[in-house]
Amino acid sequence: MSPISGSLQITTVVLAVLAALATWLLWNRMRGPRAVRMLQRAALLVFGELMAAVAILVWVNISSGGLVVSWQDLLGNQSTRGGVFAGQQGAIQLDPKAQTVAVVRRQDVAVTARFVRATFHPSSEGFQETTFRGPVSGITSQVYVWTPPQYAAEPHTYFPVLELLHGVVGSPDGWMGPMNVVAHLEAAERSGKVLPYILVVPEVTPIAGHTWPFNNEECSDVPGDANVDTWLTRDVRTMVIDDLRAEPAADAWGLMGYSTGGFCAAKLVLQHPNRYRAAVSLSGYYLPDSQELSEDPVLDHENSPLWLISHTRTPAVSLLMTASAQDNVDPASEAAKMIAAAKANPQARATDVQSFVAPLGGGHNQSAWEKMLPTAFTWLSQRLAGPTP
Amino acid sequence: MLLTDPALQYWSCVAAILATVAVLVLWNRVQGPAPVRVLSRTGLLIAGYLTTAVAILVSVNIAYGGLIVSVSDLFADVNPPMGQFMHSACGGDGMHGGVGNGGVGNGNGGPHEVPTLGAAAAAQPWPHPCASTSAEPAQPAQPAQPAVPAEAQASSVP
Repeated sequence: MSPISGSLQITTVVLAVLAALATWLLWNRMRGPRAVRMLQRAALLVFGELMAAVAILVWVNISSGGLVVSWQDLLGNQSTRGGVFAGQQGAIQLDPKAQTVAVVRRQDVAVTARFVRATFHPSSEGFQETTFRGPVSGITSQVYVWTPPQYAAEPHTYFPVLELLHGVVGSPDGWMGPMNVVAHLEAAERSGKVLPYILVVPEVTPIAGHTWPFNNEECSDVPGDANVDTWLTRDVRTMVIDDLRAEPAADAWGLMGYSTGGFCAAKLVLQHPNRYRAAVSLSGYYLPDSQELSEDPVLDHENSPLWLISHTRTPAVSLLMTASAQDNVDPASEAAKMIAAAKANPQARATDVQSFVAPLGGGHNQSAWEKMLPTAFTWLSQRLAGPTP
Repeated sequence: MLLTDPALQYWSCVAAILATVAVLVLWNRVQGPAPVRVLSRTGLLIAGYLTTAVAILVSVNIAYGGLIVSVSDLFADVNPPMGQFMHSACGGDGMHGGVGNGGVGNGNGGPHEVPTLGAAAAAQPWPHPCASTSAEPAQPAQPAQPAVPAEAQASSVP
């Protein structure tokens, strides 16, 4: 009985209803001393309450398209912390060739016209949190920043940056507890093949009310609504460069996101090669999903990674798309379409597009995505510029 | 109100425990005629079930990294008033054309509005409606869609 089976849904609903009826009918038919009767009543009552809650959770999971598809998904979060994904090794063929990285010349970078000074507050898992108003987008929202141990140890070094995008519905917290991104990065770094990144986790849905899959901006500038692309790729990026020792050049900036965040990462790296060099989409999709974009044919095209890679001259950036064979929400076929479209479009030759499918990846949840992180960090480190003193 | 507030998690758990204890303590103490007793007990039972479900949902939401952050998200306007999604209407309130391309420097190096997909107009087969001065919002001439079946557009939730 899988977590998305109809039989589980029916069983939980029936058990919840039966427990409520039994509580009612058997309340005063319990036998034994007073304490034993009380215990029997409490057990029946609590069982019914829990079963009703489970029935609701099963319904939410199924109606969301099946986020948790196997019981392993529920157990995997702790067991894989810092580890490498089982079934991943050997099954994944990635081009290990490191790309040539342009020399970062900080003196070429224009002086910031308006210095963005954000106030940071300590947050969970070593992150610093700030809420600031983006001067270009006008959007006020949250950003979490984490600096590696090397950042404090080497006070004159500038560091590469990964901008991490969460899914919808979701919040930046999804990258912390559920994704364990810091634990995975530090474990991967000890291998020596992964760069010490500054992690930047911005709010992807900063507009109140527009926080659902059908009505969020999907990291795009939507005329008449909000410029979320500008918020993510200019305001947040500028704030990090102004306030931290972050490399300003695109060669040292990577994007990574899961689900809608993966769509955003793929789209933004194709749209802004002057700001990002590489992107990883963890179980993302590649056609706009929200009515904010899909209702307008122009927005629908110019913000679609699949449209861009099929029809335009795409830039010399790198894109890795991952998928889980068990994921029903954003299946592996979506990345396969991107690969096929890139091959078919001669103008997309400059773009380095790769994908892998995890055969036992799990469903559409952080437990599945965090297993992809070690591979993603290694792949990004083969393409981004390292720290510069 | 923040749905990811630890205080909300704490108090929802307290409420669930209190409601459950209330059922156990008050079940045989309800007064009044039979219909009133039936209603009272039904109310007690429903309160116990609901508060427990809320406590568990709040905790699961937090454990999954704050899927739904604010209460107002839960009541998002599914059918917003007309005019809010005027994608093709350019200028107007000036929100996009005015602020988005404004002259605030970002220090990222290079010109701020670098044509991201190649400088030549040929690289942009879909003219942006706001880039055109013609009254007719420029629609792309529906070039062949990438060969994607409709199911690829299926809804996606992280």
